[in-house]
Amino acid sequence: MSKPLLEVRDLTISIGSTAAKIDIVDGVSFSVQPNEPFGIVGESGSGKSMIALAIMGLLPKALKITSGTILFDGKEIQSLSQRDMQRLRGKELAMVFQEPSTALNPVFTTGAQLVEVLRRHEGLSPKAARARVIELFGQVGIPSPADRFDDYPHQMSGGMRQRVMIAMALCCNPRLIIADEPTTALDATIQLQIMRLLARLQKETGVAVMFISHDLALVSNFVRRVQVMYAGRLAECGTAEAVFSTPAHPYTEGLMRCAYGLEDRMERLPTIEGQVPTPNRFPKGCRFSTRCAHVQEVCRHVPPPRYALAAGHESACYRHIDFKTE
Amino acid sequence: MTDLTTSRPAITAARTSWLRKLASANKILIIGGSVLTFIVLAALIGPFIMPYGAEDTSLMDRFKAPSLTHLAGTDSFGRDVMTRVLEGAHVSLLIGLFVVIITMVLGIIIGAIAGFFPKLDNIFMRVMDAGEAFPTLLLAIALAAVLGPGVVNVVLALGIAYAPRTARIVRASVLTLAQQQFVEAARASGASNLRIILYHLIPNALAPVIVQMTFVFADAVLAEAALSFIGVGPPPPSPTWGNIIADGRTYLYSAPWITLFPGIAIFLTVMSLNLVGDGLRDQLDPRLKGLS
Repeated sequence: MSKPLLEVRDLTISIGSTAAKIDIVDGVSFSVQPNEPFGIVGESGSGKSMIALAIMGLLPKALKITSGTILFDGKEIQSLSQRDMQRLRGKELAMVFQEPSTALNPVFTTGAQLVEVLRRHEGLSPKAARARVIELFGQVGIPSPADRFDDYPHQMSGGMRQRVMIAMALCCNPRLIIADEPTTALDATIQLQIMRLLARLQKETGVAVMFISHDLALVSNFVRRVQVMYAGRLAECGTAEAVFSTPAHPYTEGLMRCAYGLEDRMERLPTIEGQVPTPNRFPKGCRFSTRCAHVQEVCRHVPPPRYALAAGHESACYRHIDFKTE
Repeated sequence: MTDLTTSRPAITAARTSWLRKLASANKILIIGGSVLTFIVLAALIGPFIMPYGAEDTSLMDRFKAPSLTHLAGTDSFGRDVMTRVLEGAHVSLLIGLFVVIITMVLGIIIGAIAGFFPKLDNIFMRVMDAGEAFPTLLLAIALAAVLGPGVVNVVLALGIAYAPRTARIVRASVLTLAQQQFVEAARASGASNLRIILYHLIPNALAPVIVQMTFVFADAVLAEAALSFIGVGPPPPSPTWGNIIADGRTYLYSAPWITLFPGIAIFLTVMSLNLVGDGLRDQLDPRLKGLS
């Protein structure tokens, strides 16, 4: 494996004072290779968006990185100055947000907003920037891009707006795009279009894309490796096929069972009992222990370490010890 | 995909009729706007078609009642009141305009900074509270007493007096706008704080400010009249609506037309500005959009 583009080591993000701090994200490590589609999957509250914001250096003020490092292209992101970080954002690190309806400034045309980013990062002339934006609009599949340049966000559909957001993320040829729930706010039919578009652009431009989603089935179709998170901790990680076909962690298993296929005919959709505990009610041991069907006594007291099951396939569950000893 | 391309003409058509739509949806705005346009045009063209000069005295024609030769009569120096009202509109309207500009600039800068930087918020807004605690006219009188009477001082005094209210409006907008996702998206695309404030926050906070400015304009016209009336406004002989009324007040019984006509001018201006303000507020309020 070549040198990773993004390396997150033992990242812990906490809220609150040192005396009563709660770890929203606890000791998460992963890496993204250049040119790799990578997925992070988890329910809301699993801390996946916080990881994205931490990478962008945009964590809300109340949250702090209390330990661990984020290395982007070998540089430690936390130690960069405000100014260097600004230069990195948009230029090398780009982000696509969940809500395309609110992620664009309503008082400027979509074209003008992209021009603004291009001029700032690339120093293009207004004319050159305009031509580039129209080219980008075409690239992300916006019909009659030259006309759409002068449209305001409210004149576009949700899918179109998300295409504009993707064009904006792409415009300075970044090396990593973080797509935080890029299709959650869209119709199911548009969802697939947008995912295919992102996957196609990923292949064409060779940019690394980090998909963040709650939809394991959707993401695993488009990524090489996936990481499943639960309540701020890693549950399982591995290649998409391995995680998808042989889920090892009880949480992943549960997620897979919830996924509803067209050919399935069931009286009732299976669910995972209960809810993700709120951060102040995280259990002491394994955070999934309150909902796990295979819970043992040890789970309630000591968080499980990661066990390697196969090459690159890891899972944080005590069950795997039993498998070996038996 | 094809139906998207064919729907293009409809969208362009909707855009061109934007003005017409705005007008048909809002009668108050049209009435106010037309009266205001009429006043501005009269002020611009009027002095050129009037046969008299604003400062031409004529001892033979003192206190002439309104007639065909003197549409609004003459004052104690035999000056034509209509000419003076039209000429006075320049100063009164310019004072209004410059007060609006100063208020807007001060209010937007202070409000945006206070709303965006929580640490400065308290300092800035407490200073604004103190400024707002002064009655507008008293502050203007005090400033005029220190700096001397004159158009520039009146403008400065009123501008400073009205800025806090505008700053408060901008701050409130900025506080909510700063939480919006497009601001986060802008930050994610590498925008600096300054750029976020100038490009993303202020343009979006402008609608309520524009409405507020019509009221500030009307208030400034009234305040100028009041200041002139007590003699701390722009000094005579160059006419303003305020000092024409001030001149005429001594003759209120014998020659009421001297005060009546500038009074009507002030009334029409303030009323039309308030109508425009109300109309714009309805028009710009996103909650009312789509109801009409």
